[in-house]
Amino acid sequence: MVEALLRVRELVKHFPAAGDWFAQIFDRRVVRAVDGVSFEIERGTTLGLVGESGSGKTTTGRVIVRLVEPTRGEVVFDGIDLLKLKGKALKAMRKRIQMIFQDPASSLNPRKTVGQIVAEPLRVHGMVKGRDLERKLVRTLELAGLSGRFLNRYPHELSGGQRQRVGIARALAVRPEFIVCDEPVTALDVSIQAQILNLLMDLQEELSLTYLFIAHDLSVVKHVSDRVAVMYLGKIVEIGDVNTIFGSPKHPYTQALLAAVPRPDPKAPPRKVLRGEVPSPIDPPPGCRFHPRCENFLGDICKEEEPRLLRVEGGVMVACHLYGRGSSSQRAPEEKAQGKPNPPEAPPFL
Amino acid sequence: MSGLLRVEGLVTRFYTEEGVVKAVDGNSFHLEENEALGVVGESGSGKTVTALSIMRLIEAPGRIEAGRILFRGEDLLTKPEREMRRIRGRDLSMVFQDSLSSLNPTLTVGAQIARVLKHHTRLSSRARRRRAVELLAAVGIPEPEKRASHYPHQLSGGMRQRALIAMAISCNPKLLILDEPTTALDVTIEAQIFELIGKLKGEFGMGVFLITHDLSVVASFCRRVIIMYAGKIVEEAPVGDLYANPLHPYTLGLLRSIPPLDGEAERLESIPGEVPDLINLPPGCNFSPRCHLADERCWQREPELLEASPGHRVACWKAGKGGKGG
Repeated sequence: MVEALLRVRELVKHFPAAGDWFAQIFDRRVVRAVDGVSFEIERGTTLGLVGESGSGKTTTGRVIVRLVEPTRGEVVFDGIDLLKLKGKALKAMRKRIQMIFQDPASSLNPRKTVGQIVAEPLRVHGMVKGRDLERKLVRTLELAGLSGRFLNRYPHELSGGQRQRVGIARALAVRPEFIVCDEPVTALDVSIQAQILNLLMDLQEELSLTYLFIAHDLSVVKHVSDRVAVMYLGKIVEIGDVNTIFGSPKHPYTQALLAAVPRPDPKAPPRKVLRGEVPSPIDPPPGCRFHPRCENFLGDICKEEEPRLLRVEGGVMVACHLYGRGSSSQRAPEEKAQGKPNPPEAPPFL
Repeated sequence: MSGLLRVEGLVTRFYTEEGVVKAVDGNSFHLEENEALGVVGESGSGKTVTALSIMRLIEAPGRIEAGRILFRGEDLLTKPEREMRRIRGRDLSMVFQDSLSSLNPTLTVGAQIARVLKHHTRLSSRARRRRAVELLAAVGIPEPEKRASHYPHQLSGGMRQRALIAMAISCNPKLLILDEPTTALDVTIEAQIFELIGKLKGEFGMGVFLITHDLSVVASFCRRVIIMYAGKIVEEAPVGDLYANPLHPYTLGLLRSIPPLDGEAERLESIPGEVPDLINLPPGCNFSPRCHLADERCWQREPELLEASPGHRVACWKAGKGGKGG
């Protein structure tokens, strides 16, 4: 078995619902942004994290780079417990884990040149000095598909695609092993989006990078990921091989998401509309959090009992009572035509 | 075919300190009742400026320099501003991309819709309020009574966008312009919103001018589509034709840069380079610097928008059989 580079276990992040400390005295409610999420990412692969706004995907990414401190849970990177690191050890770890942000316009300092922006992480980590620095900067920019002549430009002189390349170069400067990509192409035009996706995939191969790729665009996630995790209201509802999940989604939420995506083909069947909105994470529905919107609602069990992630056929894990707790009598609609699904087995651990 | 909207030779330019921005450069198109026309292009292609020109909302340093905008047979460009105010919001409505900045933060959503009704109808203030709640319900906002008394910041992005649509359709417009109405929204909300707009289109025979960069949305919602590049229409076709037989290399590039959701993922074919600067446009075809087919003629002479097959127009020297040359 291939070793997991990153292992996240029972990660929980609750934010206070009220704004300042004073309001918090009177309002003890919490926003359950991430509520018990576990997954692993193998070295050199990409895990796609999808879900609607409010699903907790961005918070999950931010906890991994320690931009947000979790309420509970464990994040183990290459055998090291990330959440216990402090001081020098934490700083050393930050060199190995980097992040690419959604909006390149607001994640680059407008007062600094491209050269200064990309040099910043090298400076912080005391990696390169003096004459070698410029050579290193040019090499890094070239990795991201920019030539050395961009070194003295300012972010406002660049197009959206070029800015995102600077954001990528900054992440690459310290030669990380793992990159959290948070909606890296969402703000870009379609033709530029394809350029950046190709770049990220080439870099992964060249530098054997491991990615956590967060996005709400399902076709983008399908394109870059090896495995995918679908989140809903702070929980993973389905996780597994990307082609298996996109080819035959098991969870009713995954099915609804995929059916809602328009295809670039006028002859495609019409989009199916999932009713309602994602409920408030302050007070998520009891039982299965998706039950108020679910087409396959089974009755009390869905309202009362929270489904656990169980392994179904194809090695995919699904948290849904349709796939039972050992009983295979209930099946998703698609399954009926294809015959019996394999009886689910308890997960060893994700 | 009288046409709900007929735009002829529209030229809109912005006179900036850096130079003249040729935002819309001589475009003609039409839109019928009960028809959804998709307008697709990247940032800087002139989609939004086209819409703002139709609404007569171009402000200095911008100017509509030439052309006619025939809305139900009458040229909007010759109308005094006073009359435009009566038309805007009543017959001609627009939903802007950013719902937070196009709603007034100091008024409740219900009050904002009521204001539009006050301007355009003779309803009593009570009737206006009732109608505002009805409209919020019609766009699928849960608990419309309660939501009507909420301020924009209290609503989610999806709800704000729906509130804007409620406002835009409050007087049953003949033409609804949507500028990237769902770009910031999740696919599930996007699907809900297009279902709603499709219903209104059918019920009131409303024409829809849908600006988007998403060819998949167009495929699922529109009957015809216009592809714009650097201020010009480069291709226009019925939706079925465009996807089955795209003629312009830019259209083809756009279609190929969408990662496929069904089927195997290979490497994406991206369009090299970036959209040109609208102040310093290249000579010849605007797309030629990024086009792998371009040759001498493309760099020197601009191709005309010519009909390749009925309803399918393309502006490209290399566009197969249709491009007979100007």
